[in-house]
Amino acid sequence: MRLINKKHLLPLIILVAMLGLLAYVLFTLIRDVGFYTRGKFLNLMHRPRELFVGAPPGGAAMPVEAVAPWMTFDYLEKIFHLPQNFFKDKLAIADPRYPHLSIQRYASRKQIPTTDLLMEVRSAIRQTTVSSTTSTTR
Amino acid sequence: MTALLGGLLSFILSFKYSALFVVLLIAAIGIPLPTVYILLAAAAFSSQGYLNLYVVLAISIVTSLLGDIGVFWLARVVEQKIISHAFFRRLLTPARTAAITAFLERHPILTIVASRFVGVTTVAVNILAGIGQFPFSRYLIWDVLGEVGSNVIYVSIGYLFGSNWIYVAQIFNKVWLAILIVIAVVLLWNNVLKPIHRHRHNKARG
Repeated sequence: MRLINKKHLLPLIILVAMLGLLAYVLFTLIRDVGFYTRGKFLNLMHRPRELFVGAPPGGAAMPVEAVAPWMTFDYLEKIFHLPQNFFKDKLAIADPRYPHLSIQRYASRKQIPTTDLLMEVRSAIRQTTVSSTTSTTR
Repeated sequence: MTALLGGLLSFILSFKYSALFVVLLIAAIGIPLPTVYILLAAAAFSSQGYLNLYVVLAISIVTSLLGDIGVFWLARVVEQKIISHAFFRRLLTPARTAAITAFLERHPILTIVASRFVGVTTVAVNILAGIGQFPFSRYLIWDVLGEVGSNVIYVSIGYLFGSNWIYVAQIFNKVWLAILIVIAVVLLWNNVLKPIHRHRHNKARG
């Protein structure tokens, strides 16, 4: 008697493929969980971190490196505690949609590389947070 | 992060609650959008003080319920039209429709409530419940229970993890994918491979 007949073959191939996919998903999941949580699970958690460890430098809700192209200028001004129209003055933005305008959208409207604008935004925030930290220390 | 998710998040940051309402409602009626990412992000924005946590939670529950009820009734109303099509008439025989309804009635927590945690399964169960003529009042009770539970859990996690929501969302996606694969493997084994094996075994024994 044949071990596998034709009727079995297709479901078996699908089953093996599914088990392979499952193994891959579980492998990447374990790798990701280990990567994100290695020894500093509390650091991933925003609220407990603020309660036990304190907010990141500058009192902001996230580090400057986490600023992404999809974020709007209004959002960045609020979470980094920057004055109103901060980026408008700093980067000379004349767009009427400001501040409800994302970094990516503004870069595409101005036809400048998004990464360049992102760097400018990050450095503007860094300068302000550094100067405010220095003035508080004094 | 995909361009679609980036665009949706920019839209939510620009127009706040009205944008969140529109995006979540579109996702709730079955348009494939990254709902878990959006929900976790909106909760994270509220933990950063940009949005209000309770408004985000209320919007997520209301839009989910509106979407679910809409899809349920749409499936119920167009049921006859769907079944009149030759392909669906063969697929959704009266016996199968009755079996679906009976299964939903026997396992409402496993089907209606549990499916609320994954977007794809939510829409599928809503359509099946509508086509299977599942009693609306009972469907609504389980739906409210499932939607309130899943939204409270997702929003709490987003609020707790704040700006790290993206890592949590990636882990969530993989966990759900793994669960769906396990369910598919179990279904394939029980409904296809096991009957074939049993049939061969009985034939061999004569």
